[in-house]
Amino acid sequence: MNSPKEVIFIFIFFFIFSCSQDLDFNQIDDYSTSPSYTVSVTYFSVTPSKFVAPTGTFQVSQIEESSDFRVFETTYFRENLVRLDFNVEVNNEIDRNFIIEFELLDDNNNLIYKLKNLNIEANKLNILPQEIIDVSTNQNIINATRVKILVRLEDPSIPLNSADNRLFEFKSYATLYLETKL
Amino acid sequence: MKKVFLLLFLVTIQLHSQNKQVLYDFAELPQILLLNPGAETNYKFHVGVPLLSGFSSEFGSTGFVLSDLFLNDGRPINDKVTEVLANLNTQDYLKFNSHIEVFNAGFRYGNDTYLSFGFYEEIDVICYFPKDVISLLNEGNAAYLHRSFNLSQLLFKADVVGVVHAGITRKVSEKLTIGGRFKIYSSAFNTESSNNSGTFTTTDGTNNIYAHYLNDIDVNIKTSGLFENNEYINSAGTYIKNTFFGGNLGIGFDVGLTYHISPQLEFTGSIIDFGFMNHKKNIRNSFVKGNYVFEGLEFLYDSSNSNYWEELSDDFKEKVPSEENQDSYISWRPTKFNAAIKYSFGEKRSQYCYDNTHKDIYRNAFGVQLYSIFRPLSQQLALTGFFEKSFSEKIHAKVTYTIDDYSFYNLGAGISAQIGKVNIYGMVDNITEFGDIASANNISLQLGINLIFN
Repeated sequence: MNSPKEVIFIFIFFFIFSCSQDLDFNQIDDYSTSPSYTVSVTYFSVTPSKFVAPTGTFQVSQIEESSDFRVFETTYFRENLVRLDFNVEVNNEIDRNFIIEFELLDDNNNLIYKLKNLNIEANKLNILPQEIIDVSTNQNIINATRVKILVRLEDPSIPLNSADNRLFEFKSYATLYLETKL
Repeated sequence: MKKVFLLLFLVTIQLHSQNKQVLYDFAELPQILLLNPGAETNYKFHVGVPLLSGFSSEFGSTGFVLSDLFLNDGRPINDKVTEVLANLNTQDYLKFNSHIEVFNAGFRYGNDTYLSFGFYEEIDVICYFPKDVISLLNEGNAAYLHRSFNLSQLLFKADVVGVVHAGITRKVSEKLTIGGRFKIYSSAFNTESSNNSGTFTTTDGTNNIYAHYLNDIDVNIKTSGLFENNEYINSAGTYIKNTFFGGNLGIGFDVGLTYHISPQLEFTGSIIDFGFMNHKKNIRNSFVKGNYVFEGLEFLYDSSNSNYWEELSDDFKEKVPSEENQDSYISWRPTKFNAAIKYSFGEKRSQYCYDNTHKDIYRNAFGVQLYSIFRPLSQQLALTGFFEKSFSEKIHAKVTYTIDDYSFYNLGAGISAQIGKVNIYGMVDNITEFGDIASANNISLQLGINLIFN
């Protein structure tokens, strides 16, 4: 222990005789995440009075509304979206059948994707349709920037009572499934 | 011999814990003055070999070890990450520290005063695991409806700093030695995020199936030295240059003492890096604050042709404003506290002193040390028991047993040897993990070389 050589030997011993299990840092290349995000989309609640023209003189057969909905402009979603689920809840207290058309549009109102029409029976509550969109077969869907929802009377020849306070409710959310690589 | 030294210092990666429990008050090494400016030394002057007197780095983690993720065992990496994330809690953290002593020297002024000074560079990073934020990014909110993701877990701090220091150690009496060190910090880079609050929750809505709640959001991220004229500084040379009076300056102090309760019983204590830095150059701070509830776009079917998305965007910006500014700010250094009590015993040995006298030293000593560092989330503590032995006047050894955040069985050892005017020291920590350092939460080695003149 008294000579410098022995001291140096001890130093070297500490550094040489440390070991490590076999590590493979390249595994990180295989790492992927699969997050899924639930996002509320649109909702509305209307009475039969909405089907009466603003002049109040005649009944319209359908009402429609649209708006920008620019979720897919986010690069993270655009690059990693693999599946999109639309979930809807409809409560129809009105004694008439309706048809709901739900469309995804681009900035010029060109149709990007149309969900299957929803046939809503009279006086039926808690209707819970779902549509699953595989992005690999519908790649254009990430170009959608607007949504449009049209509500149509199945039989417009039968007049609605505009004083009726019963509601037609529509609720919706989407679940976005992503797959990301580091 | 020269080749051996050269080889040692060229090939050795030196690692040590910020808790330098082996080095603390060991063998009167010059480096102990950076841990306790009131430590006793017994030489006329010293010069640390530039860049080699104290180069160290440390990587530590709680909650997981490297082999949990990267062991070459054929298991999918995704499964391993999921397991690690499941076991982590918000108290767990990842830290990195590197310390390079550029130069270090000291000399005795009169018989009772020792002046020491130098310059070192330090990188210090600590990041607590924001478990909820990681879960939200890694898994999304769909599987966690009704659960609140807590943004207060976002807590990190990173510093690249150069430190010019000068200290004085004064022997007040035979029993008491006190010391202080003044430091000027030059921050080349700082980023920190703390005192955040807020939750993100997706739960049953009132008007829609689900509603998203942002409650009490108050998140801030401060940076200095990262941007210049709205562009990232990506030149390493600029960062190095800024560690020497680069504009974001601060001051700090170390204080310490050694007190001999009896000829064999000694108490030492110190407070290190009590100081702050004022960041006022190349600042970019980001803030977001507010509350919001989003249930989706409500279609009114009122023929107003509203752009609901635009209204939503405007409303969100109004209620949850985000802002960037270049306001100066202050960041505190991670202050460290050391205290130790040491009992010396055994055969006495005569040691030659700087003033041409001899003093008696005991061959053996044991004691306990307490170390604490003030970190953003909480104080971190380590308790060390140690045994020291002097094999001769020139060769000293120390073994330590430490209980800290990382383990309850951290065994360390150090040796210091004087060969002529050359002093070399080596220290290892966590010896029990040397069989598999990939499974160690924290492991450290340390070497240094000084020229010491009596």
